[in-house]
Amino acid sequence: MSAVFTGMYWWSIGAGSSQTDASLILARCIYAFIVIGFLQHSLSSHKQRDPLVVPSILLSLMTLLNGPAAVAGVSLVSIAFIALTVVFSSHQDNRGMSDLHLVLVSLLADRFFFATGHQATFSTIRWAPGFIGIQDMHFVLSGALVTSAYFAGPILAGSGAVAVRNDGYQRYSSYFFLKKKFFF
Amino acid sequence: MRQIDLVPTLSVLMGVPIPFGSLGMVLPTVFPDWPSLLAALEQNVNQVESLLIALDHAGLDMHGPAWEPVWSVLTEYRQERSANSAVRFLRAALEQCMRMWARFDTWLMSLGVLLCLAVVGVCLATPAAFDDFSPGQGVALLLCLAHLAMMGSNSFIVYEDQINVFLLVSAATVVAYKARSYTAAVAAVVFAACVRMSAATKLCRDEQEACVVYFFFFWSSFFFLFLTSFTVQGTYSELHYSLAESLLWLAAMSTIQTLYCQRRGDSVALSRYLSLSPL
Repeated sequence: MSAVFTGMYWWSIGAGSSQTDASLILARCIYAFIVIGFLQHSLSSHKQRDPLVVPSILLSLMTLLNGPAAVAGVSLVSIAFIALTVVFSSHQDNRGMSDLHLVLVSLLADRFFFATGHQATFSTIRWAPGFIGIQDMHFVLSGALVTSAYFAGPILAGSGAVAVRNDGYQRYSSYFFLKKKFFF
Repeated sequence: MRQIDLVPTLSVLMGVPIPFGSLGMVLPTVFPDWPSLLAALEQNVNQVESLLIALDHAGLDMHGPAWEPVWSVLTEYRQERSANSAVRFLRAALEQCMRMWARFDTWLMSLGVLLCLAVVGVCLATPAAFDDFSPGQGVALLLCLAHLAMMGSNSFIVYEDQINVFLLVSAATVVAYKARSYTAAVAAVVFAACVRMSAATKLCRDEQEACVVYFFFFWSSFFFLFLTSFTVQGTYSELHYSLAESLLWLAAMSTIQTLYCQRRGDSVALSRYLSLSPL
């Protein structure tokens, strides 16, 4: 639902115009969905927990804050992330390859950072995300939103790594590419 | 001319106050006559004096023995009102501030480097590190060291995003060579290709020369979004809140938005919407 509302938000923003009342409500709905999603996830039992809920929620937040332009790069790095999981799924018994997997995931987190349109300089920090969903600047909220937008890529990579670590090896390795299910 | 002098010079020439935090000096050669130079220098001296007083109030010791020559030159200027004493005061204040702020403690710097080396040494000296030291660990260590060494070069820091791509693609080549199955080899090639293509969407650092900002929602990204969606959906088809659904919705909404903007023919607005410039 938050993904639907994210799309509607960017639709309502229009061609670079400022926020309207409708877009404000949409953005706040997305925040509400994100909070509810986290609460539901944390309150549910371990067996019921879906490993991809947290990455999905963070992806919605990232797209809301960084805009649709960041989605292209993030989708490519996501595919790279899944491909990396497949590569190392056959090396689970090898401690050295597990270490290499860890290092490559950390480098991919950097790639997420760059692909979401950031650089490690103050001048490339985008301040616009600090005003999404709020009418005036708020020291705490705006700061939190700008920080979230800036570090969204590495956070997303971290949550994805945890999800894959807990659940992903077998599933990814058995379905990736060469299975008929992928094509049909 | 010093870079620090540019701001006060331009400010005086444009008739606006010199920025409060500036420590520069107006450039004497740009003023056509002596009275205008003296007026500019007086404005400059007053601004720097007010800055030093503000720093003193903020808790920095601006009246210690090191600052005595600076204040004596200022007193001299107040008595003479000469350009020479003004220039000497401004330069003395700048040098003293640089001495105060830009400090390099060689002893502490050396200690930091030694500490880093000690950490690496302890890690390598741990018996478990070499018990079953495999080529995979060697590549991992090499990547870490390469990433660490990157910080030693300014140009490598500036082009950090490209170094990141280089390290990932290089590692993918090794991994593809060592792959245990056909599927893993294909996945390694896909990994390298995706990493390389993701480098296309980026913002540039100020220092990067001949860099083109390419942070747009382009049509090919639509294809990749669906590819991601199907890839993930194939593996997590039973999950309702999967990544796939999110990506599909985002792709659909973004594409409709792009079409809407294009139909309006508002190219400037479209680029504003799509590029999401940092400012």
